[in-house]
Amino acid sequence: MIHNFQYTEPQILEWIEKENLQKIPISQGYANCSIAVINENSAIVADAKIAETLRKYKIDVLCLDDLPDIKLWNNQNEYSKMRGFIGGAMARIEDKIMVFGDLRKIDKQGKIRDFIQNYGLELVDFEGLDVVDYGGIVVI
Amino acid sequence: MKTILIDGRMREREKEMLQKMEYHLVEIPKSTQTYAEISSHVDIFVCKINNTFFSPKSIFDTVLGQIELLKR
Repeated sequence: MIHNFQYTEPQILEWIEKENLQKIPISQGYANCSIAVINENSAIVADAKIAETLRKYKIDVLCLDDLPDIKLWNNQNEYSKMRGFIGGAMARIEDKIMVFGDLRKIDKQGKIRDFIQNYGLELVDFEGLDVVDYGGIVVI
Repeated sequence: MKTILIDGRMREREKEMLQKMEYHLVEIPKSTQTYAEISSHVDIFVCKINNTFFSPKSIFDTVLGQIELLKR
């Protein structure tokens, strides 16, 4: 479990202890949005400090050189001036990684595509659409 | 049919793809308790650890509690 445990909800913290999950502390508050989980041992991030921490735990990390242009919606359903995060802009669904938008818009060098495909996962993205951070998805 | 929680602001093309993958989509509505940009973000309101879900009561009452699998 990766989180800033200073801010973890007490019931969740209790559950983590009960389930005996390994805790990986980071200083970033929005852990899920900041980390695109590819599988149990690999992730894509845009924050060098998070990358450094994950690597200490033997997680294979692709750390993006530049902050990707990921959009967020504001209250008027227009793009906000704030920037979205990589972890909220893609999600693992079965054996696929879905990118919420056109991957080429944030991956001109193809590093993200290569990293994902090296793990044998299928990429699903949406040609022409800007990449948006939705806070990921949760499969029930 | 499998169920997936999504941001209520997700675009139609993305929703159509998930439906084509045979997911039933359940949308997280906008909340006034956060700033606009994250006001319907799934990971702000729901946390899944293995097969256990954590959410604020308001989201359980209006969203998660309506999902057959999660009724209790």
